[in-house]
Amino acid sequence: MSNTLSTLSIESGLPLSDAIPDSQLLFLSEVVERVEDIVMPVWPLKDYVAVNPHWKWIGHAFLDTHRQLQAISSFDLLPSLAAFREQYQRGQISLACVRSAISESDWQAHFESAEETELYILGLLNGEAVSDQGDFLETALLTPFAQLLRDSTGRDWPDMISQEVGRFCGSYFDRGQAQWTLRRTGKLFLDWQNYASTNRTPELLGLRGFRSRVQQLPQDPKVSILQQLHAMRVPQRCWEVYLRCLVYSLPGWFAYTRYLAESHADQERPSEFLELIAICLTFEAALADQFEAEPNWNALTVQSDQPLELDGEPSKVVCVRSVLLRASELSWEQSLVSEILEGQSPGSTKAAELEEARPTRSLAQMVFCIDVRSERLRRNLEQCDAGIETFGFAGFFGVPMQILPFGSSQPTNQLPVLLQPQFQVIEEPTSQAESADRLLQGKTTARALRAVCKQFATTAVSCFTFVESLGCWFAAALAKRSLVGIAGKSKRGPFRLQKPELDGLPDNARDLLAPTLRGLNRQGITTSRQVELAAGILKNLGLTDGFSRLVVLCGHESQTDNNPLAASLDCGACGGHSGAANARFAATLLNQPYVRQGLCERGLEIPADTQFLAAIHNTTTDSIDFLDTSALPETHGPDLRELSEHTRRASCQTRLERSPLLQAAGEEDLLRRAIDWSEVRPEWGLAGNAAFIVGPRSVTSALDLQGRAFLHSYDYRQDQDGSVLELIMTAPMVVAHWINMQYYVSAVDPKNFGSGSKTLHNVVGKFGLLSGAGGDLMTGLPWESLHTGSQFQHQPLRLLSVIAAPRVYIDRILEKHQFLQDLIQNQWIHLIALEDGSPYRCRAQGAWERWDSHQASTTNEELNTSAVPATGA
Amino acid sequence: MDSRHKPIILLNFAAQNDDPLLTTSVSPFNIRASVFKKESAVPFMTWIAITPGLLLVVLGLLPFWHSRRWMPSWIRTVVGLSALQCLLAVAMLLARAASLLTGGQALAGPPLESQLGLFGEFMPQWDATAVTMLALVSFIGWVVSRYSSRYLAGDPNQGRYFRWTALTVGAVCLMATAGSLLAFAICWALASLGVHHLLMHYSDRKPASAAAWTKFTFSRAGDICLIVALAALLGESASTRFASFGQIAGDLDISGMTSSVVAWSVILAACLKSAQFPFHSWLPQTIETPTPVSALMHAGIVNAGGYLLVRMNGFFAEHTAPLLLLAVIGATTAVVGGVIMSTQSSIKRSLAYSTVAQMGFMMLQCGLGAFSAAFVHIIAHSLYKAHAFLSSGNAVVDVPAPQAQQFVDRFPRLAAWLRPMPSIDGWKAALLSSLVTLTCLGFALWIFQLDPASKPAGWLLCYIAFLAFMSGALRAARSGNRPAFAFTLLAIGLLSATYVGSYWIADKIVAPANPPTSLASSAVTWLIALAFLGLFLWQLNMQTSKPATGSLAELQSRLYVHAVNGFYVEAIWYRLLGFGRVRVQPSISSLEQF
Repeated sequence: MSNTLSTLSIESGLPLSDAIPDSQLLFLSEVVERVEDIVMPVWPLKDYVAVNPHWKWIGHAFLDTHRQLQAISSFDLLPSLAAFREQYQRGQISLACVRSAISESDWQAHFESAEETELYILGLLNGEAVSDQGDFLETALLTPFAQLLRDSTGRDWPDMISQEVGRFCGSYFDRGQAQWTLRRTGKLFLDWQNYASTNRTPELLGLRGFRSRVQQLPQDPKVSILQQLHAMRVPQRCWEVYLRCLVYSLPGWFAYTRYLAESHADQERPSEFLELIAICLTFEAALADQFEAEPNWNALTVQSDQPLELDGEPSKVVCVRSVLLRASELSWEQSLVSEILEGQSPGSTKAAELEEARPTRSLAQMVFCIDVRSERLRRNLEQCDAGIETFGFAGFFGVPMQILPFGSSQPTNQLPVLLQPQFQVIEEPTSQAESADRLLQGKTTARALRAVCKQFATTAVSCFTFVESLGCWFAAALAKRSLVGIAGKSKRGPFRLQKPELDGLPDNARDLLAPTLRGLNRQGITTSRQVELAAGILKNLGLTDGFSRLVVLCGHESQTDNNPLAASLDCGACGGHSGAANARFAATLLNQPYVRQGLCERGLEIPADTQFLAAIHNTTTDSIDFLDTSALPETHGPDLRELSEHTRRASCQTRLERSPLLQAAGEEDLLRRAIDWSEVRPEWGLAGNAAFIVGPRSVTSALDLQGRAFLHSYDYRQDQDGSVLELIMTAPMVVAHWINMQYYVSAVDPKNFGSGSKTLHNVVGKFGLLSGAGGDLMTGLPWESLHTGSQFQHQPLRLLSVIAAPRVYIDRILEKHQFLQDLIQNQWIHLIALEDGSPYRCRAQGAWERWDSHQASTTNEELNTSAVPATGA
Repeated sequence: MDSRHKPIILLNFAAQNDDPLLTTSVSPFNIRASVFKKESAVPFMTWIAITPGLLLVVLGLLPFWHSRRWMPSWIRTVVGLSALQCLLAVAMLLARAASLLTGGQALAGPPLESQLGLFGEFMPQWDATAVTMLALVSFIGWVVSRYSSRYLAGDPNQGRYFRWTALTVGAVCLMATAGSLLAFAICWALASLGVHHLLMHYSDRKPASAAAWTKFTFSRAGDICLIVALAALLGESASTRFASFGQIAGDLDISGMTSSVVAWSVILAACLKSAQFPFHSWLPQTIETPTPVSALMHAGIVNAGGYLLVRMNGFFAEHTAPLLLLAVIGATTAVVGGVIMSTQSSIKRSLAYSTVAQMGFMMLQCGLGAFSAAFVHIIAHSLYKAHAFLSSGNAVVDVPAPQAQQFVDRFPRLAAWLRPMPSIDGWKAALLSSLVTLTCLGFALWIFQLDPASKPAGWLLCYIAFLAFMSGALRAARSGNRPAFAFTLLAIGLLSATYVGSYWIADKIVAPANPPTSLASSAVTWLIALAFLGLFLWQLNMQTSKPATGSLAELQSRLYVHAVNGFYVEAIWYRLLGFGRVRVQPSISSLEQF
């Protein structure tokens, strides 16, 4: 270390590049790798899926993570006191639960007794002003130099850096917005050097000599990083924590480089993450140099590979907020578990009634995605007709495929981002379509014309004539789209929304094109593997006997206009796309005679008169469309007609149920939202999600879960070796946790992990969102998706997982998978097992504890009366 | 002029009251004029058609708590009033068109009876230009307020937002029908006030307030210019009515000195307020406000400078020097804005710079005396840009292409004809494209009986249109897709017809009394033509598959960096106006703590 430091030429602050020993480069690589590892990717808009941005922290306890993040960033993992106050006023936090939460927590550091803690918390909840500001101050131990110098120089350096980095990254990663693009060599840092040595903006904004500084940097980003770290005199042990801090100051762009690395994992390519660090560090070093900032690094007691943690106990406010978070979770758990128990108790069961009313062979079995939005529809369907059985299953139906849309060269992944696609399915014209050539020609012509139109409208030479000759026609478009709310009477809307993938194809393109089984053999998916795939679908779904005449695989998609985040409303299990392709593929597969034959040989007999049918659930309008109905034998016509009748009624019922939530004037208003370009709340998406329930439908069939629970079908009696449960806990539960945490962080930390207001969204490079003119890439959900305007629609709660299986099953799986243990023991997920109808809670230490409902005895009335003295105190 | 011509539709009242005798300049302070005399009903009648606009302004000026307390009905009222204003304006427009077709005069004179005195300065003017503009701005106002009613639903400040929207839309409606420079300036200032508050909607966002205050600075500078112009006119007791500029330019009752002071300051005001280079920097920054505000701004407010020049067109016939400067500024803005636009990677910034470029082109047209073309441009651009901004959320998906294949399929003959078409390569395609484009433009000109030579900058505009169509056609040819190429050529035909047709209509509406044609042959025109040729060649060069090498490539990438940074104009103003500073709270910076 000291050797290297002595080679620094003090005047320039830059060491000679050849003086850097390999050991340091190696060390730096390790450090950067570790830093890179804690950042979760963010997907581009057309494949946008929810992720837990703190996924890499699950090895740490939830509260520790909060404190470690606070030490080096402005991140927050706990809801604010104001949010709790709101929840308390809405009765979402009960006093009994506050008490149990206090008993679970470490209150000793700040309070004398549990009673004092309770009084203090109730005082806060009742709106008492916080007397001691000191309790609430929590400053980061380490900030980037820019932030530090912002306060001392009075210039907004962090903003300048994020604007500059944002502008460059937008141009560099552009996917077809700009007509004149940056000349790229494929190396981010090198291209930036070329860019920044010409760009005068930083100098105009007060960063002296920045261009010449950039020119002097070595081209190798790693060497450049080393040089700058030395020049800034960051001690080697602090490198990791400092770089982490830097990365967390621009979470969006760094997350995007992680996505690029992730999606091209198979290719040898330079790490954009590292190069982006080099870029940010150049700004930092320039600032440090210009203002001679030299922080006292010695005071940072940190080891190189240890995370930096705030000293001492958590402050009072953190303590209070964590107690309240737990209290709100307990309140939810309380109501959910007691409802489940009630629903199952032998006296009152509605479930049993349903069971009794069910005919020997049901009219149809309908499989839905586990998505919380399916819950309402499933409940209403079952209520419409007892002959409809519903199942919950991951929305990609266990088909790990990517699809190649017709006439396209870009395949789309149709599976959870956790998994890698196993094969490619091609979309082809069905027998109905007249000729493939014709369709293909339509598509290529459309593509060519699109390019012409775009150029005509957006190049400097033609845009003036474009406007003068074509501009007036936009009056018609404006009038048409503004009148949607008035004229939009029909269910499908007054005009068809153009889906880009259907561009250039006739209106009924959805019926003309379908995924085929052709070409699977070539990819090594032989018939026997296809049978295996089919068997896996049925087994994991828990549907192995008692098939009805119609088995409907129902994927889901949303329908919105003018919504850059549309993919966040689509099926997350299908990689943020519509689930139609998977449903159609799975149905086609399961209808193949040779597959049926193969299944029969494996002891899985499907009656000959059982037909699998694909359908799609439009989550915005709650309607169900049956797909490929022309392939259905005529004998099943009456069944389908009857089923459609029921689904129509159930859809209508579901819409009525959802209307008040969206403050919609009625069904019409709800349907309008699907086609209205000015609508910011077309649907609530997965807002409100809080539980993941694994078990047979009988566990939940009597419950109105209000669209708050992911429901996965599972029957442990059919799963002797526990392999199905293992799959459920390692895949769908993790997806549910990601979605849950995405909504959670977007609600509690909107500054860093929410994408601000939709009204400011500015699509950059066709892949991402900026808020306003520039800056960091926005990730997460916008304010409008979580908030009604008067209150939060999404109550931030960690996922409560309820699994109807013996505890030994679960223990076996937890033992096998460290990350599941982490999730549960570090309180990222709460787990409850339902064994023979009695609930057990999985404690943080891994032990099971009988869940009891003593807390339920305290009512909200008591809560209010005991709160009075607290306010007086 | 047949002043006794009976209006067929009641709303066409303004046309019946022409008396050239009264067109002589009248002191605005001459109150004793016959305002309340024999046809006193007419001045009040003329106010009816603008009542919704007036009400909007009144609503906007009410204290804030009104809008907060009765928010839902407040929103409905604003949407309803702008819809009503739009309907009224469209009805008047149709009446105008009907009277034109049945042989009425093209240009309805102002109701001169009401033109006397200070009161007269504030009388609305109901000529075809004003009515068209009113229809446009009220339509945009209605679209935007309707859009905002859902788009900002749940925003705690939606009431305040609608208050300022009401003021802005109302003021712009009044501005469209303002009959005098005085009224125009007042409405403009009101609209500017409304826009300022709309830009400050997210006042806690630093870039938003920086944008708003930059605009505020330029707008106030523009206001000063207008005040200078007004002072010059009023100082000589001259009327500031547009009508008096238009009809008796040259024998205005003011000295040559005053006249040129007015010309220069009006042009400077227009440049300052209509985002001309280098005063455009606030426009791209205004995307820090909700999307509909951007739409309203880019489609409605920023045009006002061009509209003012169109209104005063007769006045400038004598002042070629300021016009020449305007043309140069406009051309610079158009080219610079266009180049910056093509480098922007975010949709809204690219749209904002597109507005800058389009405003430049509008000023260029004004500067060359092509006021009719500028008027077409204002209307077409407003509609296009409102739509583009409001639908900017769709930028993720590709713009749907015209359904060419379905179109071709519908005509089997055409499909059959397309098949044997020889393959299209570079030169053949270029030749075919240029032939088709020239024919289409020529045919359209012939149909509408327009002679480019007789119109100001006629040839230049034709030439720019030709280059634009050619660049589109060549792009289509390069795709190698025959139906697409054929469809593009067909589209060129239709677009040429629309282009020439709308110019023809605008020319009938605006028709400057004495167009300053002397500029058409000046060196500036040639320079502009050259600049566009350069843009065209450069565009072609960028399209070729092999990238430039050597020093050209170096030059290009340097230029790119400057362009993507907006040639630093934003940064310079940001620095000059002192927005880089933050207010430092006295706090211990974190690193010093340990």
